[in-house]
Amino acid sequence: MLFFGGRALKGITIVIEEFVAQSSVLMLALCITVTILLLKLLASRRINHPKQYYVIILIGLTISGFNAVSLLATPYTIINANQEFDEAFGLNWENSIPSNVQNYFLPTPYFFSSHFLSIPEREITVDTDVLFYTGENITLYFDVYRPIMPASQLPGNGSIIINLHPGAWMSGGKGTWNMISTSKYLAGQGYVVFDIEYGLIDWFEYGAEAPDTPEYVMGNFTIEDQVRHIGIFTNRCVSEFAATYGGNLDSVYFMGRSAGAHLAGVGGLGYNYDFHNTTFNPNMTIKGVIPLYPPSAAPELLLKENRTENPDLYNAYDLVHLADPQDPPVLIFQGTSDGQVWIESVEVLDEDLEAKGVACCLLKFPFAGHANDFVLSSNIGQVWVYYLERFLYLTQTIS
Amino acid sequence: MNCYIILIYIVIIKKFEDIMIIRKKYVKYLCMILLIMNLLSVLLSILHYFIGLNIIVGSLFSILIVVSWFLNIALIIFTEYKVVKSSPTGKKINRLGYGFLAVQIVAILLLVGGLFLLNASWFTPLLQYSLILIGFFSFFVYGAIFSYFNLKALDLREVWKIE
Repeated sequence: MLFFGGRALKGITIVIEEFVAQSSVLMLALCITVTILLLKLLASRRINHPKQYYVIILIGLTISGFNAVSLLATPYTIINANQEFDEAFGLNWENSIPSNVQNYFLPTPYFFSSHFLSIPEREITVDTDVLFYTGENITLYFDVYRPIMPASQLPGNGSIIINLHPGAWMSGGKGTWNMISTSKYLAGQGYVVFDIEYGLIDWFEYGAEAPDTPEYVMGNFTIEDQVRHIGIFTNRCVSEFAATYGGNLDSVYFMGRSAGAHLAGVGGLGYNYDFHNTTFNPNMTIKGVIPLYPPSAAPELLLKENRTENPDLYNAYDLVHLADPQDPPVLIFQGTSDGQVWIESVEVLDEDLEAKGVACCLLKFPFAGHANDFVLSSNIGQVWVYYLERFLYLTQTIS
Repeated sequence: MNCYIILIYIVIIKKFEDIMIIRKKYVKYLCMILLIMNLLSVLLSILHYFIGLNIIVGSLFSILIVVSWFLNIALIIFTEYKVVKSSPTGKKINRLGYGFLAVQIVAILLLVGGLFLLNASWFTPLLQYSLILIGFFSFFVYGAIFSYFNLKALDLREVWKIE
C-alpha cells in the first residue's frame, strides 16, 4: 500500500491506502512491540525451535522497516517543499515573514512529539449548519470556523477560506470528511474558514464513495450545477456572511480536497474566466488556491455535454485551460502513492500551470495516499501545515 | 536507520547473554535514567498542551520520546534474559514485562484512534483528547513504574542472573 497505493490492486485497497501512510509511524511502534511480545512468549522455544524464533524476528523487523519508510522520507519532503517555495516566492521567502508572525506558526516542519500528542489548538468559535441555499429540492449549509481573538492580531487577518469537501462529486459532506482539525487550526491562525456543501450528483456511482452523505444535498446535478452552488455561496458571502463572521473580502482563498480540489481550482483559477464571469461574485479578491490531491479536469460524463459536443464547456472546467498569469498562486498537496489521483497527472498539472504563468508549489509526500492529510499531526500532516500556513501568509501580501 | 534498528535488535536479542556481561550498577543507572526520562516525558507532554514547546525544547522532547521508548523496550528484553522467573519477585517482574507490552499495544491503538478521531464531528474533544492522553501517559507512567520496580528489586540477589 505504501509503495503503490490502491492503484495496483483497486477495490477496497483504494480506501485502505487513505489510512496506511499517516498511521505508519504508530504501526512501526506496534510491529516492534508485537514482535517483542511474541519473542517473549516463545522464549522457551528458542533452544528447541530456533527457526521459528528467528523467522518471527525477521518478519517483525521487515514489516517494521516498511512502516518506517514514510517517516524516513520526511526530510526529502521538506527539501522538495523548500525548493518549490524558493521557486515561487524567491530564496528569501522565510525571512520575509516577520518574527512576531512566525511565533504563531509551527516552529519546525516536524516534531516527533507532536506526532503523538497532536498539535495544540487555539481557542476558536465554530458555528455549524448555517443555511445558505434552498432550491432545486436541496438545502445547502455551511460550518464556519473563526478565531476568538481579533483576527487583525493574527497572521490570517480575517482572510476567508472557502473549503470544499471531497467525495468524487457524488458523496461526502462538510465536517468530518473535510478535515475539521485543519479548519480549526487555520481559524486559530486568524482565518475565517467556511466549510460549505454543494449539490451532489445522485446518478453517478463511484467505488470509494464517502460515507454519511446527507440526502438533502443529492440531486440530478452536473459539475456545472455544483460550481453554480459555490457561486451562490460567494454572492451571499459578499453580501452577508463576510460581515457577519468578520471575514476579509480582500483576501479570499479556495481550498478543496479531491473532487473539492477540482471545484476549488475552477473557483480560484476560473473567477476571471469569461465563461464563469456571472458565477462568482467579483467583489472579492482571490489570493490563492489550495487544491489537495486534485483531478485536473472534470470527468466528461459529469458535464452536461461531452468534450466533442461542446469543447468550450469542457475547457471551462479544465484547470490548465482556466489558468492565466493574473491568477493567484497555487499550493498543491499530493501523495506519491495516491491510487485515485495519480502523481503523474498532478505533476503535469503543476508544470502546465507554471507554463501558463501561475506560481505553483507542488508538495509531494512520498508513500502518502489519497486523503493523507487526515491526521494533522502525522509526519505528513505537520509538514503540510507548516508550508500551508506560510503559503497563506506570503500570498496575502501579494497584490 | 532501518539497518541500525535491525542490527541493534539482532545484537540485543540473539547475542545478549554472550556479549553483555552487565553489572548491577549499570542496570541501576539504566533504571534510574529510565525512571527520570519517563517522568520527564509526562511532564513535557503537559507543557506541550499548556504552554507549547519552542524549537529547542520540542526537539529535545522528540529525542527523549524515542530514546525512552527504546530503553523501555531494552529493559523488557533485559529482564526476560536476566531475571530468575522461578523466584516470586522475578515472576512479578516477568509479568510486569508482559503487562508493559500489552499496555504499549493498547496505548498505540488508543493513539491511532484518538488522532484519527480528532476530525470526527460526532466525537467530543474531551473524548478525542482522552484517547490521546490515556494512550500517551499510560505508556510512560507504566514505564516509570516498571523501571522503579526493577530498581527496587535489584538488591534481591535471588532475582537476578547478574553480578
